[in-house]
Amino acid sequence: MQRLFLLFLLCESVLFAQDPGGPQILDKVIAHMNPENAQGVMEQTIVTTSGEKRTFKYDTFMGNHGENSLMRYLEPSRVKGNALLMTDYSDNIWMYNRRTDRVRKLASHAKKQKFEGSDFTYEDMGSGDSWKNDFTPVLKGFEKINMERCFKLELQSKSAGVSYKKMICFVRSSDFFPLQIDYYDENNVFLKSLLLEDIQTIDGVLTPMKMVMRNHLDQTESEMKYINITYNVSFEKDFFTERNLKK
Amino acid sequence: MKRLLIIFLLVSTLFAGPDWFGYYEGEGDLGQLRGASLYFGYNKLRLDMDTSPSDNIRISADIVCKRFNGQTELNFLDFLDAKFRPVLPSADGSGLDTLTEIPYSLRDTLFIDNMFLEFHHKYFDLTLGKQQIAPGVGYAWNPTDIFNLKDIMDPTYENTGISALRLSIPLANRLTVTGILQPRQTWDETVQYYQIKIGSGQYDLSALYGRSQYSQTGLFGAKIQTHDLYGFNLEGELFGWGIRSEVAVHRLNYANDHLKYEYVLGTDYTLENSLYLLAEFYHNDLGARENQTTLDDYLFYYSGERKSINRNYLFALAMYPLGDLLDFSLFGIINLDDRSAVVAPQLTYRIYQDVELSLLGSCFVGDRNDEFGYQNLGIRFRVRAYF
Repeated sequence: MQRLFLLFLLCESVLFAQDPGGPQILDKVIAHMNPENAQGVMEQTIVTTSGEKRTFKYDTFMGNHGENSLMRYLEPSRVKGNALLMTDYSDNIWMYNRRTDRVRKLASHAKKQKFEGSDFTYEDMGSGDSWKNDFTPVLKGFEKINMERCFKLELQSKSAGVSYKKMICFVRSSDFFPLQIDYYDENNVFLKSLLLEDIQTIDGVLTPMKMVMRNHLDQTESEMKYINITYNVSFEKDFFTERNLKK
Repeated sequence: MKRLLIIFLLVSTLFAGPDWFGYYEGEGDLGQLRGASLYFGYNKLRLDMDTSPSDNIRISADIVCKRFNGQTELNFLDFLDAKFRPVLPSADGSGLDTLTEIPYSLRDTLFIDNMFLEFHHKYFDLTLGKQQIAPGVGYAWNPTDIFNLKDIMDPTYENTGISALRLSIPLANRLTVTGILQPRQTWDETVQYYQIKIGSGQYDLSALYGRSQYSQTGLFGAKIQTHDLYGFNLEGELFGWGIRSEVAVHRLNYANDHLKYEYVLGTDYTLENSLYLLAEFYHNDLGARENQTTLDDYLFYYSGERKSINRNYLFALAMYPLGDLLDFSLFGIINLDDRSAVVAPQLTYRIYQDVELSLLGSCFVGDRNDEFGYQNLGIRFRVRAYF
């Protein structure tokens, strides 16, 4: 029995030693979440506090591993034609209002604002690999999410200027794909959780066809769903520019 | 030329399967003046048509129908203190009479607001026709905008289209040169506007030059002067705070060396709890000095010929989302010259996916002969339903 226990301890320590460290896991998570280029149509549904649903549909374009992104609203009529451009991993944000033909450049503080009243902020939409600069990744062990073994990766903010004090990513150990991200504020209050669901392989890229952001404070929920997406796409040099934002 | 453009636009849309959308807007305004009250409202329908016959061409147009109700025959002098009522020679020449009425009407309208064609080429973008032109980066004031008249109580409301030709040439990434011509009867009267915009890091900067005619239509006639505008816009951030500033230098009459300065210095910030704050300081050399305001200053301002009555103003705005469907905002405008002010709380409720309700209250503070002092209270209710 004692031998068996020693053998179990030995196996566990060998397995743990084979697991990569926090920075390596984060690199793989970022690689999964930021493919080189992507183009698709997304639908965002907000479930309000009163239980009503509000739906937005938009064309979405992403370039250079998440460095640049452009979204152009298709529905509803209230925002149709409006567009949003984010470059330099959402450090630069421009909003275009089609009715007034006005482009406004938003300062980086605007990243904290809710995206169309949803539980996603602009920052959640386009952080790209800025996590590497803003957070220190620490592997905190393992947990099971949806019956799958996951690394529990804690991202601790490096400076006070970051929107979240801490994020916990539950990363599937089999392929390093994140299944859940929990967000905490500076007082360690559990704000919201992002659930990545219906993971499919599209053009050879693992894709969460559905993303749900659950706000634990407001008890609201926002869902983003790909209606279609392709990664076999390339963009011209001037695609992610203010000029194209207005087209 | 105009007819040809209309025919071309109509024919093109027939073959391009246009997209139709728009909105209905209903508004009611209640004002409590000193000794009088006022109600008027309107129903507005905007119908938009948008189509792209090819990848490089976009044609867009919209028709606006607006019908007023309530008190639509108004007296401009009802909104001002009695001291602004001018004294004129009486009709029979026997003495002097005080003018008590400058009438104006809120007329029902049906007009084409925008109607333009956009042509995108690899090396340029060309827009022809009645279009939205919105220069400047300020929120409440845009000193570098010589095309539009902005309502300071509703600064984000859409403007009427401007009949113009606009050519934009991208020279490099985040470097664009734009020229706008608003044709008039003669070349001298034609509005010219040229801008070079450059982006660097978190900043967008633009330098501009404009030439137009500056008119001032007072009670006893109009004065028209040539107008050169030299301007500068800056948008970006400093220590995490957003910066939006504009400087306009006006030269009235070509030979005049006496320049007039107009500028807005603005900043904004979003707190962790989503509270959005914005403040702007505005100065206008063209405005009246403290205690020198006349009826003409009000006439210049309300006819859109000047952007302010006096010279120095402060605007502050706070916006906070009260849940996912309701927004609360509060803004205040202070006339720093006569020290009058208006404070306006507003609730905006997105009752349905495409229906928005807003209720704006306004409370005015100041002496009765100050800009914001003659009114007491105001309430504005607005419903907008998009389709």
